[in-house]
Amino acid sequence: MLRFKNLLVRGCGVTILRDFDLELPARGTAVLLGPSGCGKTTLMRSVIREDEDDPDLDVQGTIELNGADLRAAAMSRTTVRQKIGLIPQRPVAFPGTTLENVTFALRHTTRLPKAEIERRARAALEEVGLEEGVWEREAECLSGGQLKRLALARTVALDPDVLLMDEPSNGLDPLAVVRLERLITRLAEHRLVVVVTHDLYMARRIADEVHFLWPFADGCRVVESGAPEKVLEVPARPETRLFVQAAWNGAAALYEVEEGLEDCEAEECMPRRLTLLQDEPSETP
Amino acid sequence: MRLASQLASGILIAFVALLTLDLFVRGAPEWSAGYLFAPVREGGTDGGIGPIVFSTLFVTFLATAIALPFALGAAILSNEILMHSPRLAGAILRSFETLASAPSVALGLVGWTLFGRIFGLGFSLLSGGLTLAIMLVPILAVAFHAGLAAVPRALRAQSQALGVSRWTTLVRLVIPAAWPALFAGLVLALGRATAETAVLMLTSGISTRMPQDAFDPGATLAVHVYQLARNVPGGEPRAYAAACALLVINVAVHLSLARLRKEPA
Repeated sequence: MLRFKNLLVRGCGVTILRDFDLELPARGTAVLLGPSGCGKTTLMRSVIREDEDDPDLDVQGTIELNGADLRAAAMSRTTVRQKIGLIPQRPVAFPGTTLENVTFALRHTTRLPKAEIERRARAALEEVGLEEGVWEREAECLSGGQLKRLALARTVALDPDVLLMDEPSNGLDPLAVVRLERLITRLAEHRLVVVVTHDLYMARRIADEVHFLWPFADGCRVVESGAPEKVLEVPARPETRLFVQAAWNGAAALYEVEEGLEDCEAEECMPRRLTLLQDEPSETP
Repeated sequence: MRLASQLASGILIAFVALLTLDLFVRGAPEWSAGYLFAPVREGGTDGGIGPIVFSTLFVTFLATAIALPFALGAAILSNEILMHSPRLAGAILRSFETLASAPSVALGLVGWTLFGRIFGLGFSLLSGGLTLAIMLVPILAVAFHAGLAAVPRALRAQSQALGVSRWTTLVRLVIPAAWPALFAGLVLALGRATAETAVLMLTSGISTRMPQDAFDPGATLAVHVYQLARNVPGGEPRAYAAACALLVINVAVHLSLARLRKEPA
């Protein structure tokens, strides 16, 4: 179980997350939704203690994995990163072949025998569906979709308890997205997979639970959580309603959200409504 | 556009070829069998350049061997360790850039005073090598810094996100990724070192005899060329011959290092 308690995160002098509480199960897929810039990526970076590398990022509060405080001094950063894998939005290839990319972290963070490292790397590459033809190819020659799967294989090979995936479907074609969704579902059978995405269709297909984050004036918080069919179909909060209806139906949906704007043309209403929400933040739930 | 770029390339290549041809036309006839290895006679107007070649290679490689770890360390400090203190890292970099552009004759004077007089090394290969190393450190450090800075930060972050330490990431990922740029910096610095005159006239001296150890003086090729062209009557054709040899040695060193251009395993 991954639990955030009273988290306060500041980046570049701005409060990004405040009074942030969230509890995620030990297994399954949890999807985090919310407008751009509301701190979803920062939340993931906080989990793996990237604030220790970034002086502009300040994290306070508690993040626990199965009861163990991930931010405790006694817990080394390497241990945290072995338990929790982060797949970035824009992965980069390490120098070397695809296979070497996957064995790299195993070689330098574990004391496994060479044969075992090779076996785990090959198993991870097979699991993410990277065809054997590219295993010996220079990783920098891989396509964008292959690179995403390579980044996933690099992390999966370490067998983490939690996988954090930042906009994994970004830039992938529909078939690649479907393959990715199947993979996420499979990976989530044995661990927690946290997915940040703006793709609500994907969220509906893979999520066991959905958490909707909203940026209030004093920081971002979770405003609504629940099963995908509830949060994505019949959201309770106006912010969630606005977000999901904009995703499902486009600008036209905004009529239904804001009373008194029924007569307004969609093109006019969209910026008005969005400006309203940006400039006059909702009250804390 | 293509024609223009081909024309520009052609002009550049022709210019370099013309310079090289001029050197060889004037210098090559002065070469004799064993010219590169024979001792210097008659102040350079006769014999070969064996001791000069030895002194050149000794001073250059001594200076490079001393400068390399300091320059790499400085580049790692300013780019990797102090990345969260941009002002301090910037100050280090600016100071190296200033030092790299300092007139070499001034460094030569400093080297002579420090190593020649205070440390009592006098005119010697060691004195020359140490002073040349001081000159090379900022040149190499600036080039190495640029090479390391060109490696995307995401590479470091994504390696460390897998639990790999910062040091392992640097040694195993960042340096290999920056290797072509580091290598280019090294080759440029070697070229600068072999061609350096002012620093070495003031520190390793102008002796044309074969040095017996690092404490003996010894003229390098660039110094020898200068001496022949300016201070030896009738020495100009031999100056061209020695300049030819300098060019040949530079190309040979470059080619022998070329195999290192590929990323280290």
